[in-house]
Amino acid sequence: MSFKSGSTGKLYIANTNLTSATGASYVGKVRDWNISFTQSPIDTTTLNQTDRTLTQGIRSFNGGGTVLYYNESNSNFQLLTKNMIATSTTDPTARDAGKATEPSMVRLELECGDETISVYAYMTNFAITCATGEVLSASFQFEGTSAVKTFEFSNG
Amino acid sequence: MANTGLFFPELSPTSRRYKAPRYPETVFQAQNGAVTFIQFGQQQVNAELDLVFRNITDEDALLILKHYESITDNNWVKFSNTRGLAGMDSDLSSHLPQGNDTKKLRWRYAGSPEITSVYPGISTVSCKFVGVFYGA
Repeated sequence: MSFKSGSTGKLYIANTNLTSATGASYVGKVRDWNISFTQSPIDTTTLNQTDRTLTQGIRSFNGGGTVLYYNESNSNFQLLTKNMIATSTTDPTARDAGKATEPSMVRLELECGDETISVYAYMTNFAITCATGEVLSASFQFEGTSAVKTFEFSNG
Repeated sequence: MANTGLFFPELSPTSRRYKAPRYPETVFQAQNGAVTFIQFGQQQVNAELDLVFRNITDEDALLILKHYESITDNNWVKFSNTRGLAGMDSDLSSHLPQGNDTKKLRWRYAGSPEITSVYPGISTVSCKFVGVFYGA
């Protein structure tokens, strides 16, 4: 039995072959990550009741984190934005302007030591900050889709 | 079965709207603005009752649908304190037309029930009823 600290935290992302057990890329220089699970119960209260009653509803999850940019091939910025941000050389006044590669789903693996959460998600936000006296960094957010793939926190 | 009052399923609504019946009448207004009312009969008619059953199970939604399908020919809908009128003070609910066999103001579906699916196995059902004067 032991505590886990952020020093054992890791983040992996798969941009292709999402259902493959392997192939997720290690995202370097992650300062923090977080994930939040929610269940929205449905109200079933009727006119003859004095207290609210509920039944099960939709589950969802979302999360985010912060990465410090590190200049290397396949950088953390590239990995996290690959399925979200698309570039285009099309003239913005051209008739077919506004078309580029569509955003797509990713698989994220959030680890802290041996504890693992694996989810399918869409990157929804990537905010880059460049400030005097600080290294280039970015915060990112994602919205989960479908059920969680794995949620493994050992009991021992 | 025709010409029979059939009790609404034993369900409590989430919201309810009742509009009291009125005497059938014609209003004559003279050129000077004076108004004369001509009332026809002694029976108030055209009451309205809207019931919404929010987030009920699909099994309960099916009960409502089957009840709607059973109201054929001269059948009518009957309510009670546990069937559609739950949550209302008994003095008030007993004052409302409930479709009793001895009363002539009887409830019919004003339209077909609307079922909105909100979650697997969970639906919201809206029903509208009109209180009509069954032939004396």
